[in-house]
Amino acid sequence: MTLEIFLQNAANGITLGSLYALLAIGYTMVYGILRLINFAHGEIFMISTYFAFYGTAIFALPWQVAFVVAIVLTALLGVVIERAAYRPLRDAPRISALISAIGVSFLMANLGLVIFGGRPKTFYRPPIFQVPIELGGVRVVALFFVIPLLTAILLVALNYIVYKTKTGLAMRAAQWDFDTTRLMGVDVDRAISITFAIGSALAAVGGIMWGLRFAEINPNMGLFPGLKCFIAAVFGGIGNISGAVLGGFILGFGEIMLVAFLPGLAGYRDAFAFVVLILILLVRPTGLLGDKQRVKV
Amino acid sequence: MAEQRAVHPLLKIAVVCGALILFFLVLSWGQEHWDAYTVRILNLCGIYIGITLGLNLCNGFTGQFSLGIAGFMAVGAYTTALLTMSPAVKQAVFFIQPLIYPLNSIQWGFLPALLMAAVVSGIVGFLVGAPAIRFRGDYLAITTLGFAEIIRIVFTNIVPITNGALGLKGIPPHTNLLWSWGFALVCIAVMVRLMRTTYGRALKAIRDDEVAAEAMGVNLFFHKNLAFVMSAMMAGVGGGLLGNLITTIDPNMFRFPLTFTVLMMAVLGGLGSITGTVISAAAVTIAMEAFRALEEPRVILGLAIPGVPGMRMVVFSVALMIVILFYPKGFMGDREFSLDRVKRLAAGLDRTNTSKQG
Amino acid sequence: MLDTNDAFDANGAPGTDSAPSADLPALACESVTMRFGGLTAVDGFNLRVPKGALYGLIGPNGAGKTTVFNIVSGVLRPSAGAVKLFGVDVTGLSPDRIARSGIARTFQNIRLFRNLTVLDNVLVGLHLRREANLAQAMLALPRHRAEETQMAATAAQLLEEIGLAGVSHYRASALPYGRQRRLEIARALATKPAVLLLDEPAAGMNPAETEDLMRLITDIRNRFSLTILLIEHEMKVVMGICERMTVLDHGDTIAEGTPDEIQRNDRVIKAYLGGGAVARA
Repeated sequence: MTLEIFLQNAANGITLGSLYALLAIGYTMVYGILRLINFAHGEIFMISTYFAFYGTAIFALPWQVAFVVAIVLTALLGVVIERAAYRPLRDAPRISALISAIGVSFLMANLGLVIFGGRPKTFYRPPIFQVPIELGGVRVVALFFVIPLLTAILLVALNYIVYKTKTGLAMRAAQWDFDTTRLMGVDVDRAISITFAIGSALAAVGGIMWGLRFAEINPNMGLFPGLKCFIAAVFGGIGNISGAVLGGFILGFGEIMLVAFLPGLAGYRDAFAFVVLILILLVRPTGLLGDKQRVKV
Repeated sequence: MAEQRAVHPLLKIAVVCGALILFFLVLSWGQEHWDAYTVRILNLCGIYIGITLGLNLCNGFTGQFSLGIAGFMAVGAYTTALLTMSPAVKQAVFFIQPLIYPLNSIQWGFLPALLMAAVVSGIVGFLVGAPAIRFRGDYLAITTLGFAEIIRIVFTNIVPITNGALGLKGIPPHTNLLWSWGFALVCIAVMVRLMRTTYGRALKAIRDDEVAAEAMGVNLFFHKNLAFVMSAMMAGVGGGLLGNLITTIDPNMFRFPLTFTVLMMAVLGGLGSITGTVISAAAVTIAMEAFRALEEPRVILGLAIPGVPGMRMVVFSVALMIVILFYPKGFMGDREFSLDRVKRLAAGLDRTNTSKQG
Repeated sequence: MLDTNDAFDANGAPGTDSAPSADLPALACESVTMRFGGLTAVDGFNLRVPKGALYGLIGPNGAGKTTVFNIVSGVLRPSAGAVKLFGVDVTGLSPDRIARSGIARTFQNIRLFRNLTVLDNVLVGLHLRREANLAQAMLALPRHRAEETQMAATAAQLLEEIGLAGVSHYRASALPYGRQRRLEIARALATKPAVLLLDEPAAGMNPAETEDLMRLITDIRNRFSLTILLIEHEMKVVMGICERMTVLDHGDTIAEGTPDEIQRNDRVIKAYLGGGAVARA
């Protein structure tokens, strides 16, 4: 393998890793606060791409506006899902909430199929992202720089919100104990809504960039990228934002490199994430950066 | 207590045997005389009753929320298909890469093939379960889902055994009403028996409180694996029956939506209820077929209605959401149909009145 | 006493039947230490509970009492030290094996099988002494049928003795609090233990209920010839019924002796007053 090919793969890996990271954050934040695998997160991601698609294709909005509207609508969608499908089950057994999440996931995927149609749609790609850039003998389009850069900016912003603002404090407090947090005068419901809004907005950014990168969108694209990103979150240490980002990058990079170095195993690409999940849970269930969990008896 | 034992055991056995004989006579008559559509749906009902009971054993009665059922069905379906297809058909189907020896030259009867499917999927169930049961709740769910996906992906890739993504065609259509409902009845009998033994109680204890169960001497590894392996075996045989009913299988049939369908049947009927599962699995199977119309274009009163793909699953997802949000225990909860309770009283077990409180 | 109870008596602990040695404690902890990360929850804990004793383990909240219980019952594996049952090392065995070797426990926050009936809860306790294997049980062979009948009779009798006979068909979750605690004890007794660990059995009970419970505890100790180790943070309960006790504070053993000795011990008084919890002895 030449250096150019390796660099090309590295660029692919970093891009895919950035997208995974953006989605993984949503999983890790929701799991941290509700102890729930938000199965519907992948579908939120899928629907965000359609919001952007319809914004540009049907309503003929300028792409900048269409993308922002899509992000806002997706954030709202996340909040609505939490209200309708998860909040009523907050005191129910956790498995009920998980079943509800699986139900929402299927509902949205199939609703997508009904409304958007099963045939893949071509995502509008503004030319600015397709400007070729040559660096160290490798030619890539501008998008390959935009995606990691934007991801990094969003991460800084997210870290600021979570660690430097009162809202972030409320979100972190709610991770421990709802009742105590309430007694401290924090509106737990609001903190949870904001968590869903932020997680969904990041999924929307990821979705739009996914569209820009892969050009095609379809209603079934949510479930598996979604599950992989949950795995990335577990890998990094569930509930930990930096861990989710790290997990996302490792998974994205690993997947691309697996195919690049061991083309014979290309068919097993989608199994890679699950193998990683099972190994990490067996060897180090708290993930790379996770806190030690204690069993309370 | 004395009046509960009033029914003589021999009489009871005679009645049950008589009912079974009558039931199978009706089925074998129906196999010949009912139309193909009805027979097909009834076959599916029987198969899904068995599979859903298996899922309920693991997810409902033992509280081990597994999402791997499609993987075990795949294992069973491929095992049965490869054992029952004739060598000539295999040679024709495996045109990219020939099937490996000795699979390419053998042809078994349906029953041994199904038994082998039970064995193989049971072993796979143990291999999946042994590591996975260390996880709880959602982690177990996602790990087992992962295992099922790995099974599917492996099946897509080991072309000399599975024919890869092209799948298997020309599987002999052995499955008939006697097989599918025989399977359903065996599963029902196994579940009813198991839940009356001390082992069944231990499983329910694990569901209610794993830590307390272990402290009371219940070996978690053995009992969880027991549920896992039995569940996998039921799914495997069900998969085998399914493959030999529809005669073509490919790895993509065994994706997550299949697990979702079975899970939905179990949840709607009540996780932890045998009768609820039976009713729900049959009802959902019938509804699934009936709603197929929603997805096919048709002409009603001169109007051409285009079919809407995905509409069926929208309906079922909504049904699942309604049940989980408003009747979180399903239609039966963990109770059994009252007829069953009467039967249990007749069997002399006087500790069934669990519904005394609200 | 009905003859089903003989099973409880005969089924002592390993080693007791053949050579009941007077100086061999029923339960012993030898320099048991438990560290969670940097925190030492229990430090060099020693305990010798003689056979047939009703022994108290007391201390203010956070003293490490429940940690000791979790170590003895196999939920936690100690960082160092050994737990011995009649001289047999059981350190680090899984909880179900500990239960099989003859240690049963209750939980501070009641952990019943909530959706099972009262009778079934006790029957689960009997599960580990089963004879029939899975296949025999499924096929309902005569021997297994007899065993199931026997188990049901034993369970019913246990409920009778513990005062829950009238409610055996209720769901466990439907019982009032005090009776749930009793059911936990009945369930633990069903495993035929030699040593019974009771984790704050009187927590949340009113004085009358506590009185009843104390009577029950002494009663079952005698009837089932048990060795009982009892955790309490309320002094009154232990003082009334325990013959000896150990006082823990912040993971250290600060006193050991009879109730009288403990009541006069300066360090105990200081620990309780200093800890903010006034001893209501």
